[in-house]
Amino acid sequence: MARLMRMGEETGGWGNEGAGSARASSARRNWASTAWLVAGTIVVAVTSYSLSLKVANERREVERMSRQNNALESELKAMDAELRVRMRMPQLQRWNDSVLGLVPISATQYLDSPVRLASYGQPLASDQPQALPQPRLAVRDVIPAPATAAQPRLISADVSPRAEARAIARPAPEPAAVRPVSENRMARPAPEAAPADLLQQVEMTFGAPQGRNP
Amino acid sequence: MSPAAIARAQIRLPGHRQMALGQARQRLAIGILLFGAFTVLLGLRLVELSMFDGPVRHARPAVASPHLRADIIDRNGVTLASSFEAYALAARPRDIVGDKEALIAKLSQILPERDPGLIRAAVYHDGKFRYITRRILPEQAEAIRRMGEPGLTLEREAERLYPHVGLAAHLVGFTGIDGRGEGGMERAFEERLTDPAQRSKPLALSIDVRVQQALESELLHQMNLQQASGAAGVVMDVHTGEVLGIASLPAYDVNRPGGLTGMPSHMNRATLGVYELGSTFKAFTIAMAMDSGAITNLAERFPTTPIAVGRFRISDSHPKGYPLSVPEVLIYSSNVGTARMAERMGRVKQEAFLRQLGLMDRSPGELLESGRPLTPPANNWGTSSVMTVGFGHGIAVTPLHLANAYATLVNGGIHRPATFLKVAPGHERPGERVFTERTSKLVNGMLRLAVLDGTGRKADAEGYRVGGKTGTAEKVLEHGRGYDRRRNITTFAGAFPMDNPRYVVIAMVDDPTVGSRMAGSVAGPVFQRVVNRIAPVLNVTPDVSGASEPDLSAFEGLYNPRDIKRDPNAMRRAAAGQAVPQ
Repeated sequence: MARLMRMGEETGGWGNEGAGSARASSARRNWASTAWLVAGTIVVAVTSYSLSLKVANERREVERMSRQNNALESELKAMDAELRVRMRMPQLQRWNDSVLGLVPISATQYLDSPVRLASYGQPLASDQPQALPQPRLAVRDVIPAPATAAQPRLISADVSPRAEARAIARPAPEPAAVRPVSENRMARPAPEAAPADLLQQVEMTFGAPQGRNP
Repeated sequence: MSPAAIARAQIRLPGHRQMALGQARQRLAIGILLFGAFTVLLGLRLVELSMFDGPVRHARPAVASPHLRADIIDRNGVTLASSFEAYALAARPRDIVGDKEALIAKLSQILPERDPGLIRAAVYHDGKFRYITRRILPEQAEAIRRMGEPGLTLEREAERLYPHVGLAAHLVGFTGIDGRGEGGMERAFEERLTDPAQRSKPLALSIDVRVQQALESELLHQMNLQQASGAAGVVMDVHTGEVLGIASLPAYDVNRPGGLTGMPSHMNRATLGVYELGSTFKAFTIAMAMDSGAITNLAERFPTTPIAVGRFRISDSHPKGYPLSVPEVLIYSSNVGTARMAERMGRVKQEAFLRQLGLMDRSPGELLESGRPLTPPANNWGTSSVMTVGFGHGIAVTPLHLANAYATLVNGGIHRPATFLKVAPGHERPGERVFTERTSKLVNGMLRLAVLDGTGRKADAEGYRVGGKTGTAEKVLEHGRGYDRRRNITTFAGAFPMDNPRYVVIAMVDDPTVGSRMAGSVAGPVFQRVVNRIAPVLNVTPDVSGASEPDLSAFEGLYNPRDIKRDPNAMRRAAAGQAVPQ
């Protein structure tokens, strides 16, 4: 501002009429600076406008992607809902009551050790260890128990031809009868005859039961 | 103007010119300052918009969000309620151009589920505006929009879908035609579900749909079998107070709730309906008497001869004919024994305990449909009321009240109000102590014996160490005076596994009309089947060896086991390899 006022004093000041050439050169300088100012403004405006356009484009793109994301999310939600509706709990219950007839596992069907699970259906010899095998830890974090004085069990096997023939002649042991689910505990009234459409639906979902395939 | 005046005007003195120049410069400077200030203002605004308003703009994009209302999920993330975009179609009959009959035909084609008569009525309506249908699918809305009929208006609205239809209907609730919650959690959490900042985050309930389905289907099965008028049930975690399942039957389809608000199917029997739940209260009375010092010795015998109090006569339903020890009072459900204990304890202590158990306040939980208990009036809570309340008569509470109080009784004596919201692990509420740990442990043992040797034998789920108490109460007559001897409310309240109780289950069947009307035969089997179904889901390991049976050595010799082989003390001894007395 001070510069502008000083310039005004220099150019239009009282008693400077005689300095014609100086005034002309000053006017040229003014014109040039104005031209530079205008040119600079135009350059800045064009650059800013292009930048603004770029930003607007970016924003539009972000909005489009956001819309696309929301559309996909909605679609995902709808598909999830359709799946949920098809596998809704009351429907599964209806299928089970009418067709599948599954009952919850009874207390007697639980096995108390991996040994029993591995030998499920096979008779357990009386001398087989009943205790759980100790898991082997990857990192030993406890002091190992001192070794017991128990002697290792020596196992011998008769490999003579007579023994082999005897083994073949011996019938394979019958698997232990699996204890059925206690009917009196899980007893339900006889299920109603399942409607044909329900049977068809179940077959489409779980596949046809054995014996019904052509 | 005279020549002299013109000459005077043309004369400009040097001081005048300087003054004019000074004024011009001042004006120019002011203009530049104003322009500069305006530019600075614009710049500041741009900075503010870009730096401070930016995140808000991004949080609320101008595009449609799929989260119109927050979802409701169960504790494992299974969706119970979800919102979808839908449209409402309305007609402005005066703006319809073209053939109205052709329009009706086209609309009927697009909306086959809508009655053409109703479409016709809307199109030929005399008014300015009328809805043709609400909640149509986006595809149908698009087809209608392409018709280009200016007399049809499509309004965007949310469609609420409940994938499991009527499962946990009373808990989840439903939304009305305007999208606002009108029942259950939808109503209780209206603000939370519609808050834009939280709409993308689902509301996690404490229930487990598998437990809920097991509870509802078993109650419905028994209700149909015995042609009962209703049923209710609760499954609750005793340590956190979380409700894992809550059922009220008959239920309704929450996708089409209709205008049946106030009808029996819409009443939440588990949180709003209050009932006299009978002998299930005896366990509380014994615990109260033990903690208040009214009973100091478990071997003390209580005579079972009927008591006359005023015009009432208290007697036992299953009279034994000899004085009963404290465990036997619960095992054989002696009204007389518990009435005497309550009398000895007195009104003040009884009322204080009931208040601590939450049985004097509205039912716990976040639901707005909460029932207020019916207790004896303060000016009429005399000895007879104390005695009848002692065995569960003269006081009416909701099944949720009962579940919460049983949870307090069996978990070591800590009361935590029930909640329908999932509690994050490690964020359990501290709770308030009501009973001592010793009392809780002793009552747990008595509840186990009541199932093994008492009235709750049909509730015993093998291997799961169930304990509990039956409750059979006559229904109050319609006019409110006296009881109807032919109509019962049957309840079984119990917990499992009793060596370290984790879950409480309440099963209530209202007015069974076919077969036995006693709780042991009606609600007991429901309890047993529910436990058999939910225990594997809840990771409760069964044990048929007897090694996990609760320690009942404190009751040794105070009761006569029906079957010595099934006696918990004997089973524990047998599992430990000790000899079992014959």
